[in-house]
Amino acid sequence: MLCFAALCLGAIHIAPADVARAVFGTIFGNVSGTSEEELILFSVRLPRILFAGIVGASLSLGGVVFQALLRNPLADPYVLGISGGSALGAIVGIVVGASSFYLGVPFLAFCGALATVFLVFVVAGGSRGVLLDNSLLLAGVVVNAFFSAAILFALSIVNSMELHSISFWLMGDLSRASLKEIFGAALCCAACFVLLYAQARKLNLIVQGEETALQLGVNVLATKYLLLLVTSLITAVAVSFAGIIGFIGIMVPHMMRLVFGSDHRLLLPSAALFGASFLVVADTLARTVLSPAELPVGVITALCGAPYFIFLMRRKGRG
Amino acid sequence: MSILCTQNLSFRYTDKPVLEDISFGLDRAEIVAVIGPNGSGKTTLLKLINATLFPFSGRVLIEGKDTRQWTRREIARTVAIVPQESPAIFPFFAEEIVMMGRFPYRGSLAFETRADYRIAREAMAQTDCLSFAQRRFNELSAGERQRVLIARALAQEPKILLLDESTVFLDLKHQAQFLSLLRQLNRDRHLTVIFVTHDVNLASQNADQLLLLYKGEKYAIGTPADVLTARNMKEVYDVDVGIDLNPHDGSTRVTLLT
Repeated sequence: MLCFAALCLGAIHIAPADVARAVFGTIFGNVSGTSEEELILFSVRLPRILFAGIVGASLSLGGVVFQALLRNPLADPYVLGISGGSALGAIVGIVVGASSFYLGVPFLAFCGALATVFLVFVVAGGSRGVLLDNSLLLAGVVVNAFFSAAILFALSIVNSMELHSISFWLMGDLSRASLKEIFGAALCCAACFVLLYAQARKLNLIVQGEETALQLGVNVLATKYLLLLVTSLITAVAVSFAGIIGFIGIMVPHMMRLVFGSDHRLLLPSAALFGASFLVVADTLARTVLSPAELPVGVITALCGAPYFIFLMRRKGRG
Repeated sequence: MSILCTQNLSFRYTDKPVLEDISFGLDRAEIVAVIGPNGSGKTTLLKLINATLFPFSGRVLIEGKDTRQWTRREIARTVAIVPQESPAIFPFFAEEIVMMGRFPYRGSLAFETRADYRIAREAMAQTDCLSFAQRRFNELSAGERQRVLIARALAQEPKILLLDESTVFLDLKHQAQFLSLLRQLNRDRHLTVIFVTHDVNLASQNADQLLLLYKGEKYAIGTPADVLTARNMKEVYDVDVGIDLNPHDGSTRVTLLT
């Protein structure tokens, strides 16, 4: 993943020769000094690229797992209302001024996301302790609708300065990452990937239906709880730092399925890599198309994602 | 030690009992047909045997061990089931589906070994699936899908094979092939086969024993000749039948009198 990010780094920057010189200079230790270019390169762009990669990979992984768990090709990491809860947490953070603390807003967003997952579990699971996919999905929709209302309410009572900040975040924003935060997010993403990949074969079986998975030797309930928790975590991390970036979680898994087939042992790593590079490219577009102004990256992904989705649905000839 | 034994087995989904006090035992590898009207608990019985469900009271013992004490993997290595249908939401290849039958033998991380491929290939050859191994499962016909699912169950190398109406979509040739395969596996590898069917003549021709369920209770168990009597059929199915011997193989033959 790292070498992939590095690869993208070269493709993106405006003066490739300078970039290459700066990168190699740093790697081999003979730093030529802190020119302005290098400063932009290493403290602004590099973190942002790395961050886009991490978020892209996280959302794609989330998409793969949720689609498999819910056996619904239209599911995405936000399907359980994680985005809504997380957004609400962040808004509360911005309003009460938590942004002046290190990790203040992301932390509250993260709390919001986890609270949502917990809420969805309670609503869907009920007293029986059984997780039916449909009830989970429905609970997610309900919780999401509730949070959307709460967000609108919050937006209507805050002042205009905060409003801009919030709405930008809601549309997806990769610009607020610092290297320290990236390190944490990367660690979390990598750990989640390892955990998910260990379940890849079980995911293949769960896609065949839970009863089938049970009959083929998978401890379905335990696996399902583990997967839900890990995926919620990975999504919450992405959302709490980067806001709501739509369509990646739906689109990337589908594209990878077309290319690599449905085996999750291939699907998970390929989706993570492709999701990472896709978001890096999308983010680069977002900050260059209207430069010097910036678009929220969520706009780019949705603009690419929606037509692709229509194409996919028409090609399959079914909804 | 008996291969399979149920002791006073009862099960209910809600308050209404689905199975009530079922006891029977199989001491050697036999082919057993489970028959009975709709809603008599046939499928539920299969699910209790492979520990998809657990009894409300009573016990299911496989090789003398309560199904509650088996791990999922152990069960999957011993008991395989061919379901009526399988959802195909994401496009897996037929061969991948069959290969899933090898899951209980490998760790979650491991890729398949050469031996796994050999076993899966053999299972596919036995059910005549090799010609569409590389096609997608959801593009196959119902009968072809059923053969793939049978191959997956065989790839589990079970000692007990459970079939839930597994011949309904098969054409005549593949039905004949499959039934002779079952008898061959039963004879050569001591595979116990328990199949649920509505076709009493198919049951009579192919099973060593018949288990007749009625309203969740064991109405009769025994050889086809013992179970398929005009009186039993009238009582359980509320139909009038003629019973004679099939001139081709001497099995008990049931003819609906309409």
